[in-house]
Amino acid sequence: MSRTTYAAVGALGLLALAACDDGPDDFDVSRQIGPDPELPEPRQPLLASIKLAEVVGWEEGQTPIVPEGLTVSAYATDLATPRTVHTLPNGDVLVVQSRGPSGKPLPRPKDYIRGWIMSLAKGGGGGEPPESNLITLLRDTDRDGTVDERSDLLTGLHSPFGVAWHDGTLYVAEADEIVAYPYELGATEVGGGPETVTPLPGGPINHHWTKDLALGPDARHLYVSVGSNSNAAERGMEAENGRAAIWEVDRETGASRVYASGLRNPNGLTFHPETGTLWTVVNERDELGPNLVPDYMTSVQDGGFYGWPWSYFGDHVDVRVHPPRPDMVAQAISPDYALSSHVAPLGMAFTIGSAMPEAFANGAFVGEHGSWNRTFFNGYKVVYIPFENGMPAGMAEDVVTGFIDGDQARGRPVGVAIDGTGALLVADDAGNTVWRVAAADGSITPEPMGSDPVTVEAEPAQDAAGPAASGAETAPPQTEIAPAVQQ
Amino acid sequence: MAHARSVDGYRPERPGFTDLVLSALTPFPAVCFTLALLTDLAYWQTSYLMWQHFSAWLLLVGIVVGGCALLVSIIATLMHRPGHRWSHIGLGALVLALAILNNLVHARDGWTAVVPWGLVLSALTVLALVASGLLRHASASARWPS
Repeated sequence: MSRTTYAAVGALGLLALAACDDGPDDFDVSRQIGPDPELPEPRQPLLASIKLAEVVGWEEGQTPIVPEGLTVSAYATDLATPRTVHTLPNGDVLVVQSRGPSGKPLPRPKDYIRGWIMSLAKGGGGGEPPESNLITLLRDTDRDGTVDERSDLLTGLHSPFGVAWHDGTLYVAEADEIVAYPYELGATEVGGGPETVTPLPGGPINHHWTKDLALGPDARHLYVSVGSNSNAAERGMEAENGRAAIWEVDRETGASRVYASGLRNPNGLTFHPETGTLWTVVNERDELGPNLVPDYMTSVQDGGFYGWPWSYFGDHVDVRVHPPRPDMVAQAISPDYALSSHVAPLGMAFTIGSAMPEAFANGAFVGEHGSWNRTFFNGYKVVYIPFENGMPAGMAEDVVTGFIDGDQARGRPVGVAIDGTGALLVADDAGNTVWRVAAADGSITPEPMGSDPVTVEAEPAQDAAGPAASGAETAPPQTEIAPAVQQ
Repeated sequence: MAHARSVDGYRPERPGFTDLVLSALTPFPAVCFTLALLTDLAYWQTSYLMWQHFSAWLLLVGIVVGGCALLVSIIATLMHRPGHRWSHIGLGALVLALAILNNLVHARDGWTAVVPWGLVLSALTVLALVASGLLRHASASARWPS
């Protein structure tokens, strides 16, 4: 009996070892960059491969690395976890700083272990972290690429991420609503508010809490990203109402509808300046092996469904989601351009009309926050993807690197934007810095250009009272929300 | 159980402290792992994630308390307490190893946390538990023929 027992224990041990083996990680990640990524068979190792970088921050004088023809400098330092940067039409820059909401219910033993592991990567030395959840205004009055005036425009916000401005109103996407403040360009404080434009899916879970915001080219609608409440629907579909989607919100009335769905965690919403098409970068799902699922950048079709949670890259079914929905898988659109697995893209900005050198004149910058679910670091950089005729055309190229030093992270890029002089700004939430990457020859644009250029002015709204009067009573009709969860 | 028989006067010595501790600890893994099999079956039939969460917590509690019981058993065996054998410990370790493996499977997201391998491992764990119980009963009967 006991001999059998020992043999059984031994066999189990071997099984466990075999299951833990992540395989040789010699996969060339560039095969997963572009419109047609190589997708290996999904694997579910017993222990997810994890490699986290301890955050050590930047020492005096240290900067990220940029290629020849570009120059990098610290635009603003001593910030409190800057997530996104937004340029107003007059060239002023808003830096949104935030921390995620706390108090998420943890239903499984795994959630506690994950929370503990993730806390190791936060790092940043001892002491109380500075107060975050604020928006800081940076002004470069003489357009020489350095900040001349700095003031905190809004403080005490509820985990803000996206901002947009139009016609005397500043819109802020917090973790559970879009709010509006009266704000005139050039001012250093808001003129009142906030008023609720529309509530958004929020807590208590609010797993992917970053709500990004873009103003439509007709200036009538706001587009807001609402990430999923889980990795692959493991909290149940009832937790995903209105989530994994981009909403279209009427700026004046707050009326909203789901514009596109099946997008697990979309961020970096931005309109292509020439085609007027909405683009986003999306964080795809984890725990299917180190090389699944590639995160991606895609144009967003009105009414489009992009697969989450039932499938990825078109009809690649995720068997973890039960019951299966072949009807939804059949509708799933394959995204335009894969960025490779676990790079965590969170920001995107087009370069058309910027002052970047010729090599970066027609394309998009994407900020990649960096991986955890693989045994080597992927991401932790800003890449450039060339475009032609409004579509990606060519291999992604590293532009801003040096965020990783060995097994430590000096910083992690998040949101990107073109500043008022036509240079690239990168929000670095781990390094508490905004970096400015400019053409080395010092060229700047003749005029400032805002992050949300308005090309066609829509008919003025009938409701003269404006958003301030519409308020919370114009909640979105919930039946309109999330076609992804209709049964 | 060994000390249950002692009250009938079959046993030459009083139950030791380790036996008392073990009698308090050993029901936990037995009950938890059996219930985990039932909640796994419930998830398999309903796709309702609450059952999967139950399984994960039941496995965790069974592993923690079962691990303590195994440790006490090892100490008792090293001290040559009567009624403790390495073969019991081997089977106990097998039960725990199966449960730990099972808990890792249950840490996956969604359906594949249970179907098919979580369910198979839950059933194997219960089988090993039963075998372990039978072995203890057999060795106890051998010591105290009725």
